[in-house]
Amino acid sequence: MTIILNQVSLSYSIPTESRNSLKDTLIAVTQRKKLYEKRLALNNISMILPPGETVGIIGRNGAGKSSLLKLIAGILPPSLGEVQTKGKLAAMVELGAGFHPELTAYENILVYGRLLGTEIEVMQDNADEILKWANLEEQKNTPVRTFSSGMLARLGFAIATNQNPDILLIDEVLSVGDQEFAEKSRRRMDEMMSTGRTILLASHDLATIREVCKKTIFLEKGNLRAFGNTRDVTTEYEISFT
Amino acid sequence: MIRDLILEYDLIWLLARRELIARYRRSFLGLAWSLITPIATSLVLYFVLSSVFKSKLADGSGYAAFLMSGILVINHLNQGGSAVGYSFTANAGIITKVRTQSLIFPFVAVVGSFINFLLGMIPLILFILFESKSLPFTFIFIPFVGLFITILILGIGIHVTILASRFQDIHGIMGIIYNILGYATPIIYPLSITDGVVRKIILLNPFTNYVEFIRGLAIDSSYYPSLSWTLYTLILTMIVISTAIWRLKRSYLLIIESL
Repeated sequence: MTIILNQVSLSYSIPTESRNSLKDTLIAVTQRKKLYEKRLALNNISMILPPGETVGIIGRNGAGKSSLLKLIAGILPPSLGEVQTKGKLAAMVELGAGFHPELTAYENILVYGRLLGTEIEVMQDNADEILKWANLEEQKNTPVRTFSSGMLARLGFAIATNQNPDILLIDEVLSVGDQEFAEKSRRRMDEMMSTGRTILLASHDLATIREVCKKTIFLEKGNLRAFGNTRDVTTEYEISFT
Repeated sequence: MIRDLILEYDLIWLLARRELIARYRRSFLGLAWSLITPIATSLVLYFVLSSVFKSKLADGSGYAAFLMSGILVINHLNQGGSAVGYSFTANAGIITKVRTQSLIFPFVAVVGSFINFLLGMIPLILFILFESKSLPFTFIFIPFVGLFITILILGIGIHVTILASRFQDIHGIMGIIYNILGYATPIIYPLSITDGVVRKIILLNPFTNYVEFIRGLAIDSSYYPSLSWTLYTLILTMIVISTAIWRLKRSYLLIIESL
């Protein structure tokens, strides 16, 4: 399940100033102001991620960590270049991932699993297993709007890993759980790695990155500043603050 | 794109049910709400306006069914149009986190509104039976006309949602436009009392032709619009939906960014 990024750029159109109404826009047009400016979220990134590895992604806020994950997940198309993911499925776990607040945990499992590409019947069979792993068996028929952020993180992680994805993308979700969740999720990630899955983990928590990831990507303002051995890259990241 | 939608029918059904469940879970009357609104509007208008317009109808009777058939269509436009217009904003939590097809959520939104349209046919049947004691067999083709109306509303809603990713006040403007379209549709008054330029303008509104077609099927064949106006409406519908899908594909990134 090699992931190949070939000269990938992602640019956002950012409004040049706060302008939400038609009136403001018409005024700006008549004054010949520029309405949007392009901002590069990711600039010409090329890399090859081999299967069976856990790769960390670090960088300051706004460096492009989430954008990189979204490109690999296929949520955002690249503005330039191409992203090749030869896996059948890339599942992304993020805080509050795709849950509908009014629906119960069980109903959300069906919807979320189906959105990730698993048939509804299969999800019905897997639901109990997912709830058990997430320690939410008693909340099976409770609307998720009553859940704490830790419970949501557990449920999201449990559903995404239950799909047995070839690529698992994790965006800052491990930090909200308690110790038990941290250990359980690490075990699950180890299992996945041993079966040749690729895991990408974006985090500000360098201790976790050092513990889990062999390799690490260091993004700075949308550029690939460093990619290699975790120890070296995290050290470089720490030095960049001084 | 359309074929992908057909392949995902189970997902669409699951999401449409999700919408219905979420909308009515904490309400006392549940699904009945979608029937109460059109019935209440029809009855109020009936009692207020029947003395004015009833004598002007083709066969001099059946004003309740006449009202109900127009209200069904215009409710569908109001409800479906705004549901599709907000469909990306309402599902931002999913769209920005899971890879989905761009058409799925607008489609699910309009399906919900179409289901309401179909449910609204039940009180329409009751009104027709109450007023004329018999139901024409052509009534069974109304869902088919409803399908075309739904396609038109989906197209309008997608255009709105693309514009809304740049200008938030488009939703407010659309509220006014839907209102104008509503008044320019012969719902409370028969088309026959209009003439000249006004009649032309009202016929240019595609919803006029759809409403008249439904009345032709449900009440009296004298309501059917002419062949050329029918063709005009169908072609307009196809233009609106195909440009909507084409533009959605091109501006999808911009929409996701704005969420």
